[in-house]
Amino acid sequence: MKAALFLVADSQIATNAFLRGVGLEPVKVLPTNKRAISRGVQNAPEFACFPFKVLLGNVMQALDDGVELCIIPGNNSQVSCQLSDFARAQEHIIRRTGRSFEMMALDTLHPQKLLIKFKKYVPKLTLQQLTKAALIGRQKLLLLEIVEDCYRNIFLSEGKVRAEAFRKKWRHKIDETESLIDLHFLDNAILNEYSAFKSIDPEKLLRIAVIGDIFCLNDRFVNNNIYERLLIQGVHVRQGIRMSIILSNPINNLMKELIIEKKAEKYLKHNVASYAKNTIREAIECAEEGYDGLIQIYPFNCMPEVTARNILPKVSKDYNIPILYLSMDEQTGDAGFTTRIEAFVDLLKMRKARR
Amino acid sequence: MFLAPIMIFSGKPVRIGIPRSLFYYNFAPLYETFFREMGAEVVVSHKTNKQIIADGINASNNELCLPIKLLYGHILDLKDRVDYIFLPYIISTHKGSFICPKLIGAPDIIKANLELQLLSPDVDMNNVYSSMFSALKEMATTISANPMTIFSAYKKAVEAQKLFDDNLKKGFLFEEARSGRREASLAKPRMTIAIIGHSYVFNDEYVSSGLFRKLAKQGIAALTSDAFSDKQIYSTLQKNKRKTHWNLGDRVLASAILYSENKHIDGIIYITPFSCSSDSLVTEYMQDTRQKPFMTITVDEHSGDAGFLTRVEAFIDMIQRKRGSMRKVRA
Repeated sequence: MKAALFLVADSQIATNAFLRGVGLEPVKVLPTNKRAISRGVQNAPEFACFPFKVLLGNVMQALDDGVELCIIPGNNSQVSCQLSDFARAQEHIIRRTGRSFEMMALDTLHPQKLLIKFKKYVPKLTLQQLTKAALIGRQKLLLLEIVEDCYRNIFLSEGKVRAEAFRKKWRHKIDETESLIDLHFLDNAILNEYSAFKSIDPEKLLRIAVIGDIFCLNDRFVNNNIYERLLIQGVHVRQGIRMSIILSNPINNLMKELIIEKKAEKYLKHNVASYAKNTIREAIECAEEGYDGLIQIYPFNCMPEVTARNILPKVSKDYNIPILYLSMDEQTGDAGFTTRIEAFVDLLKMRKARR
Repeated sequence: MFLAPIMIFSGKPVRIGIPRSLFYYNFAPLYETFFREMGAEVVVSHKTNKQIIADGINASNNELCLPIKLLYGHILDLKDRVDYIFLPYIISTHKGSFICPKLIGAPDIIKANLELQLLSPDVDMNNVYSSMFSALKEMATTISANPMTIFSAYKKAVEAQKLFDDNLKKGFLFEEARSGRREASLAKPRMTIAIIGHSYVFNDEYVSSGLFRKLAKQGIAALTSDAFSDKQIYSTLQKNKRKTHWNLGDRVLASAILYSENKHIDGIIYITPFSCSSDSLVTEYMQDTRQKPFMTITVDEHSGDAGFLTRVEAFIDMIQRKRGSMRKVRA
């Protein structure tokens, strides 16, 4: 059965490996593009959040390419934002156009429950196979993130060309490696090669952390390639939340909520779905670590992030750290976006020089 | 010993402010009776007016929905007149579902942007330890600590709330349910229209442009989505397999289904605030159940009286004309 798991285009290597392991036939899905977004916007309800529209466009595009089973990330915590209804609403919308397809929400990480979900499509699947596939997928996702981090540092020290070559090589290697044990030792190999490059001293550079909604932070088209834009200006970037958090251990998540997120409690008492509390926690952490500035990037009409956006000014005041707020939607233009980021970086440079 | 410092110093009763927005429209009798029985002076903010809206917009950030901007306005209206402002964290009003994330975080948003003393207990039906009683008890200990007073005040408050809820279920509007008297002029309405949406949107006279009064003047009776009990709502949704994750969205969707099945209803008007995200997917499901004349009106701080009422009048004319043509066909 032809299937596609929609995280973001950059993590397709990992998701395809997972699907192969489960026994489904992965289809190469095009990354988010203008056409997909405009299709999503046309079909989605007016006030649905931007990720919903983008994902809908991507799913419709993938269906044209012959995908039969669409797997969509779902909500696996208790309180939920629109994410929990993504799969159902999208199925409802696309069914109206008269297409036949299957849709599945990845709304649990419980192995047994997940097995039941997948057994519907792959009857012979065993728990062992599923677990192995999930571990491989997760390991690949983590490795891709390590490569991305190295890429950013090499970009700063040796320029874009060498960084691109490094990234291309290792992405290919991660894609090729199939066995779990080989994957396990791959991160050492990556870091070994990385250490041959000139190292950078982040203290000397301008340091900016990009925080906000998980989808905006990870989809390169939706965030207008914000990391590259910052790197070109010689800024050391820290990315807030990573896609791998979706596949991280639920027990881990619970511990995190109990222990680490206490920091955000002062500003936001309750979990307001998604990663709003995490955004605030990260803002506080970055401020304490001495970052020069923060950029919050969130989709228009995202309930949790808008809540966080209204609380962040207080954090900014308390910790004396500048924050730039960027709300993304289908109207976001290239020029306006770049101008705002450049102006923000200039301001931060001046602020740093004055100190 | 547990008396709040304010009572000791001034000897006057504590003044508790309740903003006339959000869940005030659901729990007004409960809040008011409870604090009054506790011996506090209850101050409710003024009805929404131009000043309140202007204050709210100035104080709040953009990208918030109208109800939260109004909350800002109402709190600013109360600020100088009271000792405490009562604004609970309402997380869930029915087991298994939640309130919109923005509203869960509303007290935090207010605290971050305005320097205020807020009384904010948790109300969460999914958590046994933060029901309405324990929430009010937590509040009461800030005012007076006598457990007997708290218990009897709570009992009276629940009675008042129950009376209010029963009145709502009889089809009373908010004001009517509070006073317990129904407008006499609507004994035989020429038409019945259902108004669905969130209770804090259509009950706010400024936001809904005095819709109910104007309908009553034309001899049109109005029913709202508050007229159903939670039980009715959730059994309907279960039947249709359409349960969402939000209390408010569930109510809107279920009342749309129930009213479109009801023979006595001539048309449905759905009022939603601009950029209400929790309603956005609900509107998608609502398209399945449209068998009656249906109109969606989106309101925000810029919407004027004239535009709003013109649309309502056109809608009523349309229903009237439809009836006329139906009669012709039958004859």
